[in-house]
Amino acid sequence: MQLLNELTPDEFSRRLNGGDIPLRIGPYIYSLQSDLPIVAEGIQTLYRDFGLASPEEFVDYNVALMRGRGLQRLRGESEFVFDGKNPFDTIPVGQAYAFLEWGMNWCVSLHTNEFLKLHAAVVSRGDSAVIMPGVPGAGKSTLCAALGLSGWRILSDEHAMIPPNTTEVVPLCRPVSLKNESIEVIKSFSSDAVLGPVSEETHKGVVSHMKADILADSHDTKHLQAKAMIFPRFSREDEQKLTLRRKTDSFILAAYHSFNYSLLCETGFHAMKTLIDSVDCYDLVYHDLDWAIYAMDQVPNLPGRQ
Amino acid sequence: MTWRTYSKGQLYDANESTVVYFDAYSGDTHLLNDFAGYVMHQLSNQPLTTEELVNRASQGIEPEDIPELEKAITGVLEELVLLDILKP
Repeated sequence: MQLLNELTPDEFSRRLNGGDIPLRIGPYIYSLQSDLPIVAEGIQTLYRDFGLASPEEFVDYNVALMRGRGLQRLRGESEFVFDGKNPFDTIPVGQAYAFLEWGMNWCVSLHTNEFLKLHAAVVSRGDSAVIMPGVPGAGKSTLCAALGLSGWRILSDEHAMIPPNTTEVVPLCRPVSLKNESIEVIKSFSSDAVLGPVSEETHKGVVSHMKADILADSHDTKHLQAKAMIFPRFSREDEQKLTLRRKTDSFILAAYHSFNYSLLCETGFHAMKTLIDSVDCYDLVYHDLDWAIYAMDQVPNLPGRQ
Repeated sequence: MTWRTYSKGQLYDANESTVVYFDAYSGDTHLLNDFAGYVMHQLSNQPLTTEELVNRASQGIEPEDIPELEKAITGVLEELVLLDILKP
């Protein structure tokens, strides 16, 4: 399979302009198009090791981030296009890369209801996956990035996709979204962190994405077994601790963090029941990444550090 | 009075002090204490009167404690009605 980094700069530029960059991302194929240098730079940096699908394969998501037309162009605005439609307002060009990533998240959040989907980071060691649901600001992306830089495999920074009535997680490895202070925290944590373009003054503040496919098996599509569900919470004030939590409470909280639990109705209930019944659930309060990684190493039923 | 559920609900009981109840009629999911979960479980297959519920729950209970059990069940039934997962 051809990788994105095997394209010459000219070929990449021409194909990206023409909407001919069909990337294999987990079980999906995203076709990307853009005429914006900042978006091209981000894709080249963060997706360089992703495989390209062949032309005859079905594209799941046609996504474009294009310079605006007419007055929009004069105002320095760009637009996110999905299947030829503009689902969102225009975007300042300087924030285009962050919006491309958010738009790609949106594609999965809105579709793919064959899975129970949780708003969660997912990491793994061996064949064992840990699901980390959390509201924005809980510290799940920062922890996910730090774990990825410490030998864990990043399966997703955004979506835990669970086939109903299984305890499996479907890998969907894409860049990790870092916001505000987290960007410097991760740069300080490891000089190996590869970061994409910085988007300033977005509705989430300053945003930059970290390359997540760090390991040799990062693009493996084999489903992994969920062994634990951890609800991380960053807090400077509270004592750092990893504590077991009740499954029934965790069921409700995980449902709250789900994109489609209610939509799936009874199927969602049974999917969540199967998942929660098979994993140990924890609260993780942390402010020190090294401590949080040590705590993750203490979670039972996970293979030891490689 | 006879009590019945809005739907044949689904329970997730992990042997904790709370249970999860899914009401297929509304699509809502509730976290109930285990006593309320017991009541919903009893009503999941057929409607029952308050007296029948008390009889089922009274096994192993001292006779002098039955009035208190009846009061507890009545209270739980009222709360479950307020949650719209039970109706008389």
